[in-house]
Amino acid sequence: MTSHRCVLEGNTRDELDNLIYWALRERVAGSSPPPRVWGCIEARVQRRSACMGGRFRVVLAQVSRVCTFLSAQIDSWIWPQDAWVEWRFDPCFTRLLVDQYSFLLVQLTF
Amino acid sequence: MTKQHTDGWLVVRIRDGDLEALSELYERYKTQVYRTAIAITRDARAAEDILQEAFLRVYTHADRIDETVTLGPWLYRVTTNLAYTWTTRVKRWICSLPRVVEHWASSVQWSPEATAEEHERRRILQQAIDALPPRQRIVIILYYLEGLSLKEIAYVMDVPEGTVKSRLHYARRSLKEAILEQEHRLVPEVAYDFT
Repeated sequence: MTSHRCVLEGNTRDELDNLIYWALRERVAGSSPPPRVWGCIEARVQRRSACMGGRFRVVLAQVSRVCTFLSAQIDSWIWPQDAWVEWRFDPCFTRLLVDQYSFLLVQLTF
Repeated sequence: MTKQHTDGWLVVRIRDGDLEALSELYERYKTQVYRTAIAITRDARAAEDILQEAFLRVYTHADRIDETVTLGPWLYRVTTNLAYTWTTRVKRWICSLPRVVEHWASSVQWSPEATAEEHERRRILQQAIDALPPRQRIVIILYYLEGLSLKEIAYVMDVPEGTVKSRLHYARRSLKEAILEQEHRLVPEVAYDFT
């Protein structure tokens, strides 16, 4: 019987390398992924795409709402032909507009 | 004969949301990824999860993948990262080691000529591989099982080549010591000769 110790001491590299290689080969022998894995990946990708598509639609709807809001605001403004627009400097009105825009932007983001 | 698309071409298709392209890449690399994952984790369920996650990442990060090179190294990197996270988080390989070793030892088809001693040596080696620190174990698996070069392993593990070399050295030394220790137990007189 050949002692493994002798083998290892004498020709360490080859013997040890072979042992490790075969041990690892045995470890994974016959292992292959079950077919259900691809089904799971496919389902997750589709769910993700649907989710992203849904979110995109929500964002689009909100953008369209913002557009409507802004259009209405612009339409409602009466631009004087030959006078200085005093109300532009009304702090209450400015704050109201800023609040409305911020709220819509926050909604759009989240 | 069906045309074999390059990895790069498929990655570009995936960026446009092509699921067929992902399926083709999956067929090409599934065994490689699964085998690496199972060799590191020794858990079939974990390997399945890692396989799923790796290909989901191909899909979601397709725009970050370099389409001019093959996908293999990138996939190895993702797989080993996921497997490393799993082993360090769950640490199942430590707490259930005796059960796992027993399971694997019994599931391996030994050749008829394999002696009891050979059987024991292989069992000890499997156990020693499991006992290696995860990073050393990954190097051993990529080097011996997957046949990657030190340079490729350095890319996969995102460390300098010298670090890979040193991990390989320490891993081999640990495995050698485990076998020699077993030899001590089996053949005490041989041990006596060397002391």
